[in-house]
Amino acid sequence: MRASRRAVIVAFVYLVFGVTWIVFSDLIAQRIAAGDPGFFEMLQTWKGLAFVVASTLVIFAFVTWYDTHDQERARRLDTVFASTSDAFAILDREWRVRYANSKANLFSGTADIVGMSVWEAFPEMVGTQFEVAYRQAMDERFETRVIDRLPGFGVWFEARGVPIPEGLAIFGRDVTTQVEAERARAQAELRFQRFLDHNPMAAWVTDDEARVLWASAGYQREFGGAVDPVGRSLRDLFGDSGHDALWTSLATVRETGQPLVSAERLRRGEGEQGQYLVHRFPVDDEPPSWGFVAIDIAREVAAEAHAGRFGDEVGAAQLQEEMDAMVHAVSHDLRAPLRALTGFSEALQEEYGDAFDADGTRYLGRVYDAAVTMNRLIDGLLELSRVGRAPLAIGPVDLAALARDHVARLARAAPGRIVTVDLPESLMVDADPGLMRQALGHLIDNAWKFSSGRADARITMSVDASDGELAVLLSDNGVGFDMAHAGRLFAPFQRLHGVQEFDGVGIGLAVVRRIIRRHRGRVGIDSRLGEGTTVRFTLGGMRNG
Amino acid sequence: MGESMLLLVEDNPSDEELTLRSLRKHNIANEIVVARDGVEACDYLFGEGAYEGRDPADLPDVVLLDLKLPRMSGLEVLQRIRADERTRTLPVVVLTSSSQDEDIITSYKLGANSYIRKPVRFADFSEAVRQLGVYWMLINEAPRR
Repeated sequence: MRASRRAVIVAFVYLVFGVTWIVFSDLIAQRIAAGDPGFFEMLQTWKGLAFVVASTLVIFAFVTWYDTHDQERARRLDTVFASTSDAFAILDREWRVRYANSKANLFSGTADIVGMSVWEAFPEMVGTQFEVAYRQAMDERFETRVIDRLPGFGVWFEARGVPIPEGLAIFGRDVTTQVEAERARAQAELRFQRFLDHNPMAAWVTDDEARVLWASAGYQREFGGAVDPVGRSLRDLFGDSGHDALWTSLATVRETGQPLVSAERLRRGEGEQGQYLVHRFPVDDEPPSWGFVAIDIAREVAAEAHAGRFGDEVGAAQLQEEMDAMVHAVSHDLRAPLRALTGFSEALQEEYGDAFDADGTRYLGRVYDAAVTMNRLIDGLLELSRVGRAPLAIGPVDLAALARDHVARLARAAPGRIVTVDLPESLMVDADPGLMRQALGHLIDNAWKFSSGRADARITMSVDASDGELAVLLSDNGVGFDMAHAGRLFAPFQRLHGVQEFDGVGIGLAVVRRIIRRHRGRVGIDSRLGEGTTVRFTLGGMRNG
Repeated sequence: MGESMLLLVEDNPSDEELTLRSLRKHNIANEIVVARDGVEACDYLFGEGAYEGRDPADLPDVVLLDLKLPRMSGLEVLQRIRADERTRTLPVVVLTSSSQDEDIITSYKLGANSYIRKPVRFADFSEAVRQLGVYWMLINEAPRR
């Protein structure tokens, strides 16, 4: 154990004091006892001197201790303010600088501004927003803050005035980097926003509850109508099936963190469906949000379906022509034996009907019905081939008038049926009148037929120009069908309903498609089981008149 | 010749029999002559060939003319009928296998008066003769002229 120096000194002083006390106290006691008045007087003088010396020592020690601490405090303050990027100064109420950190001195360009007026120390602030802010803080005693360009420095400066009891604390710092970063960010955001506003793709972001947080202008154009999607749920916006189409597969995105793309049918307006390539991808992590982009692919789907079924139509045009001619010729020849079948079945029934028992009559009926059906199939083939071969005679046609005529004809043939028909006043297009009559005839026949089970049957013809191209929509509220089978519909002799349910051989839509194709238009169909069907077609160069 | 007469131009035996049956059943026309191709039809109408010596003035009241015929087509026969002074106004009803046949349009252009879709049924025939203004063919044994 090593003795500290202080301990040695204390021990030594105590030793000296103790020895001195022992030696002198007895001496002093003896002299007092002896009653020497001169000695008593001397003792009094020494006592006064000793008191003065002791108190001097105490005061000296105290002041020294205080000074040391005060310097230490100032040094610490300085260290703190020196270490901040802010310039900092304390002003008294006369605007004199009472304290300034090194940054403040640096800003002013003077070695030490303490004692100067702040307006002398920082003359460039005079007459600026900064002066206004400082004066306001000083006079009205609340904190002020201003960011502005500092004249003569070419930098962005942030100044803060904080009232304190002795006057005002002022902070200042160069925020050029932050301001410029903020401006760059704002500009980037603006650029991004403009880009999205003019991007034709429909894009939106939802939260984890399938509620829309943001939607692009493209979304509004494609799906929105007048509705603001923000805050609404996908179920609300796209219906149950749309919600499922968009949301179910999101589990995969969630799991893998990878984007997922699929073709989906989405509701586009009232009763209208579109085909879209839907991209889904994660946007934010916490809380999670999801991005969606939907690209209209109706055109591609139609082209693909077409390519799959008929091959390249341009290349196959000649083949098609020959086919049509052959079909035409064969159909005529096929009819003669059929006529014999139907005709002689009838003759047999009429003249020898009595000779048949119930089974015999039924068999004969089967022969007759089969022949009639075949005859209708041949009619369909003939119609299809003729539509392909007939020369186009384009002229002004009023589709609404054609539709009205056809509906009137159907109504005459079925006096009992009540069908609400909603047609535009007039719908002028440039097309082949004969072919359009035929196409509309088939479409209206279908609408009429498939809505026959409804007491409130409705057939609507409308126009949609939202794609920049005029499209005609013919809708019914009939039985509809499952879109899973829609691909087959435009091929000849495809039916989605039993003959017992709905009559027909399945040629109508094939004929319609050929007619529309010949007009260089497109035709698509959309349906919901139990809700109805909408056929949408365009004609090349169609105009609205 | 106080009776109505009809010329059926038809090559298909089944169609011929069915047509004859339908017409006879309803007592249409007292006399039905059948020609089995276009040439035979013209020979009959103009008193030529096999019908050399027949009086061309003794025309049928109506001709039922199939269009698809051997040797000479129905359209050619129609052309010839309309080209000849004697038969220019002779009522001709074209028989067709399809009501949407473009031949119908051609027939009308060439001067056909009406058409019937085969097989010829009485109802269709009635409608055709009504259009032609020869109702009396429908009235059994109606006096002619």
